[in-house]
Amino acid sequence: MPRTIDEEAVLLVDDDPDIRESLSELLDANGYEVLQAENGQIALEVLKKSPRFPCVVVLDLSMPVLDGREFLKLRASDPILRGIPVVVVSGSNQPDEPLEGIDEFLRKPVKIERLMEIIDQYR
Amino acid sequence: MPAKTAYVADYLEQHKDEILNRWRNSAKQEFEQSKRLATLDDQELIDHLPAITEAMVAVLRGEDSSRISASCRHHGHQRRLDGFTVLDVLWELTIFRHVFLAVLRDASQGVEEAVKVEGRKTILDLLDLCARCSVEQHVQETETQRDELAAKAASLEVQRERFLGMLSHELRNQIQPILFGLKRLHDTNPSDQQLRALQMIERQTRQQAFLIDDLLDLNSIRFGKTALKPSPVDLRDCVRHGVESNLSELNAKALNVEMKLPEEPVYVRVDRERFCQVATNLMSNAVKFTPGGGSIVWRVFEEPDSVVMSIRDTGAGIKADDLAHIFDIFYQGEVASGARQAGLGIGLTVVKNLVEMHGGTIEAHTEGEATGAEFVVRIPRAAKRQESS
Repeated sequence: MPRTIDEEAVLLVDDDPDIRESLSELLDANGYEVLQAENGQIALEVLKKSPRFPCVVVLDLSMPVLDGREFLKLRASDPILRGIPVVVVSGSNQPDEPLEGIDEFLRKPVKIERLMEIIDQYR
Repeated sequence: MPAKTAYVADYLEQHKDEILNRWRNSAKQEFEQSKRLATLDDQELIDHLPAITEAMVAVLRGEDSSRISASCRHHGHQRRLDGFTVLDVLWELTIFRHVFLAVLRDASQGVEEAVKVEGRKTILDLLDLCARCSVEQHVQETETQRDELAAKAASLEVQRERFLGMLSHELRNQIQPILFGLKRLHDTNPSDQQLRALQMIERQTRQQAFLIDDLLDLNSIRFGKTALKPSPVDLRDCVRHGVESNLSELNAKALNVEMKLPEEPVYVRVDRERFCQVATNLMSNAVKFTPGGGSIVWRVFEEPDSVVMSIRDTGAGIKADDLAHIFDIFYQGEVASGARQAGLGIGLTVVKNLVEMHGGTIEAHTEGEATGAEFVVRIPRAAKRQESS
């Protein structure tokens, strides 16, 4: 049975628990249901198990186990996951070589209003 | 080799001491040609001569020339360690040549013409071989050392880059949850007093983020890592961006900002993000040095050959002594009150570097202390630009 996209759900992938917690609360206050993952590997597991897909993935790049770049590669090779938009929020500058199939690149620290505006586009 | 040249070898062997004397005298005549030769003492001067002479004797008796190559390579190696340049080595070999040719002349007295000619040819070839081997060894070792040093420098550069990348990542990452947390507190109906405290924390946190960016940008600009992405940009947008980025500080100090911008767009081919940063840094500088209630005026206008963006404030002004250093890294003039302002003093350095990368200029004007300051950025319409580095 094909899974549908949950327009209220956001998957937040960041290894910093403070960022996950504070951003989750903000998204929650804006009416989103937040799924969390501390690295790319767990993000893939969450996506596999979740009954419905989030409308957008907010992805950090530098993470242990499976980093954002690797996550993007695996996502690109999966015809279903490829359809979920990804917004990268990274502490590094935008790399010279393009990141596979991302919809937006934001450098930390990002203004919450700007991030909300972008996430709301996928709602 | 038939030992046709053996007569020279015999002569060389019989007159070893004389050769050393000739060598010393000849060397003294050439002292002024080479600073290093001039500092040699007798011992150093004759250090390798016996070995080379012995090798020469053996080869002239019919041995192959590998012994000469080997002893001249050793000579080149040793002279490099002694601090000789390649030119010093060549001068020493010139002396060598004088000595051996004089020896040849003496040894050839009474020798049959055909044999004399062959002897001369052989010894000249050997002297050339000496020069080639000594210099080759010297140059090879110098190049090897240079390559090793270059590789080491490159590896240090990679380490430095990696460290700065990690540092910036960590610093930016830590600011993010603070800002998210502040936003959460903001949404909890804080009292006026709490709100002011929150605004203060947010302002300071953002300031810190700017500082990190400036520091890292400066680093990448100075090391040529910044590549420009030029496109047609309306300078009015950059000015607006600069003002907006400093809005909370502007409000906190109740400063008046006037933007005297033309009604039509003012396009110039620059890197949008970098030019917004120029405006942001100039604005932040003006805000920092203008006392509460003061005013700041932005202008954008066109000149025949360039496009101009200027900012004027009613702040502390710049002392005449400081004017020459205002764009130097880490430089902060003493403001009128004597108190130092927050910041590292790198914002203006970043601005100057970015403007110059675009082929532009920046000038600072002031009428003196407490009369305000003006910064004028000029971008030539068709300048050679460094599009990437």
